[in-house]
Amino acid sequence: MTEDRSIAAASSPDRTRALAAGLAVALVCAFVLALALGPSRVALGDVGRALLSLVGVDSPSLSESARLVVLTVRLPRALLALGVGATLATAGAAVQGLFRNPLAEPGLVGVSAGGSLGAALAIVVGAPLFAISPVWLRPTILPFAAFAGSFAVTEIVLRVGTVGGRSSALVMILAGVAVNAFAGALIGAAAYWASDRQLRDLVFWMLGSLASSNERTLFTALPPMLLATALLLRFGRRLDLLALGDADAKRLGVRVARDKRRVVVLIALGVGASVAAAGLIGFVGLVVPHLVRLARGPGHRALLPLSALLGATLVLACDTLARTVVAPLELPLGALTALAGAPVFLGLLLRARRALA
Amino acid sequence: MIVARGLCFERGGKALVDHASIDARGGEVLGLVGPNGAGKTTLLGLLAGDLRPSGGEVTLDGAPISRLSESDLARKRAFMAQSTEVAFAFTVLELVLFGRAPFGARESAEDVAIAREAIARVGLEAMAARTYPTLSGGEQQRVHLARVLAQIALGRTGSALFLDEPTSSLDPAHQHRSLGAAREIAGRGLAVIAVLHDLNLASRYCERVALMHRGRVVAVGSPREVFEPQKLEEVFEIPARVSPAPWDPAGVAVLFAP
Repeated sequence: MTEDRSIAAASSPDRTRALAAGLAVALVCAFVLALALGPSRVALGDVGRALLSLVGVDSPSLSESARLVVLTVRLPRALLALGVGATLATAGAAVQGLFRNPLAEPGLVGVSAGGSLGAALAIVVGAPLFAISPVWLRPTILPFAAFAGSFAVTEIVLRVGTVGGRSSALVMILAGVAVNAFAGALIGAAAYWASDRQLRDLVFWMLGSLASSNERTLFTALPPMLLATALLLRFGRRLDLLALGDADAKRLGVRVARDKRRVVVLIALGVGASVAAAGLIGFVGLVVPHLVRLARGPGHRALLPLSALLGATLVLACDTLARTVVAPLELPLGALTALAGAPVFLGLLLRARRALA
Repeated sequence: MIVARGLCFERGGKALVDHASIDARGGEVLGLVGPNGAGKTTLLGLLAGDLRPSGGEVTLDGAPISRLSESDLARKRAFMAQSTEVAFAFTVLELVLFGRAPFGARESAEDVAIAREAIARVGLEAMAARTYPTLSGGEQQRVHLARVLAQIALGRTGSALFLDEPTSSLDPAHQHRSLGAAREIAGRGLAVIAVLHDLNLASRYCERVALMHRGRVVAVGSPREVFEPQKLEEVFEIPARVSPAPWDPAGVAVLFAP
């Protein structure tokens, strides 16, 4: 498989540009469809007019109800879906680069579990903290708890998985399994003590959904996600060099300890914010970078931005499906991405198992 | 020029390098030879600034190497390890371009030309677009040699190239080709320090060799001076015969035979 790809994935910037352009077109299409589709369909022209009204270009033919549906119901949700998809895919590519393992994923190594544990504790145990906080601070408690949980877990897994200066994929994934089980148990305990309302909130985290997204979640979760993603894009070359191992990366001028720490913080920030906004969305961080690598090769300077574009497109498309297929009911988004992602993962495993075994 | 004085390095209470003093001069290839576990790789790491000595000091062009930042060091010296695992399926050209990373975030056309020249120097030009996992062990080793050649390509006097058993997986033709490339680098006024197991390769390509035994440098000089049968037998614990080299009557060839 590597043979034919090596010819296809010659390191040409033209190919990267073509892929980026194609993905950008797909992203715009998914975005327009996400705004148009739903219980009440909005004509594509009206979607455009509603978006134009945002920048002060009003058109008399646009009905107020269509404008409200597009701008206050669907737009925040679509933007969050974009942010979650771009963040999870970029963080996934970065986790894989950091652990030097193409099978690492925020969910697999427990980063997402840590985030949802933080969120669960904030929902259930953090209620008193919520009550005494000033109103403006309250929306930040949950994302911060999720960030703290993600950060703690990434740190633990990275430390346990680094043996004598080398990261061991096996040790790291086993540590991830342990952390996942531990976080799952604590989340279960939190669910046991939760009130009915808290329980509903908890179930939402576990399944992963953008159904409760609104302008407030948009304003608390999108900035940290965009910040983390934008900053992670700057680590492309250093992640490339880390593929040679810590010692050789250092000999090529990488400040390994400092840069690894920074990448860990950014992954935790992005994944934490994403978990706070949408709960557990599985497999995006694993499958998207793999697809990009198949098309473009492993170089992180192209891999990170292309993963961001593809992740944003896929999560937005999945979310649109999730809320339209069985309307007026909704499929949980996390279940849908796992439903699509798990078979792809198995397929990748079948292709790569000889190299892994 | 690299000057090391009184270098010591311990791990687990054992002295891996014990009061080693050595100079590596620009314009020459210095060979580190000795049996397994003699401390060659550790000394190479100390000279390159990879490891911090527990005693003594290394200076590169008069400046203590411990004061140089990673990025300064990366522009002044290149280091080829005994083995390097590559995590993803990068192409040969991509990997060799890694050697140009210390000189700018985006590689220029000049960087690509340098990388292609380095790839040609190790005889991999037909495989530049192949991915690393599809290469044989010897080809993979040559990729890393090309990478450090690209890193040091524009290095001036005062720069240094470190090679840790650069020929361990290579066939005879490529052993000579690789050390020929190392000689060329030295010919430009750089210092080249190589750990070598084959004393005949060392004899042919090194101006000077340092013989190591149990963490100590027991002899330094031209191969002719250092490769004395009695000294070799004592260090390698196997009888050694030394004769004039067939390729150069002034040089020596070594045959180990029990």
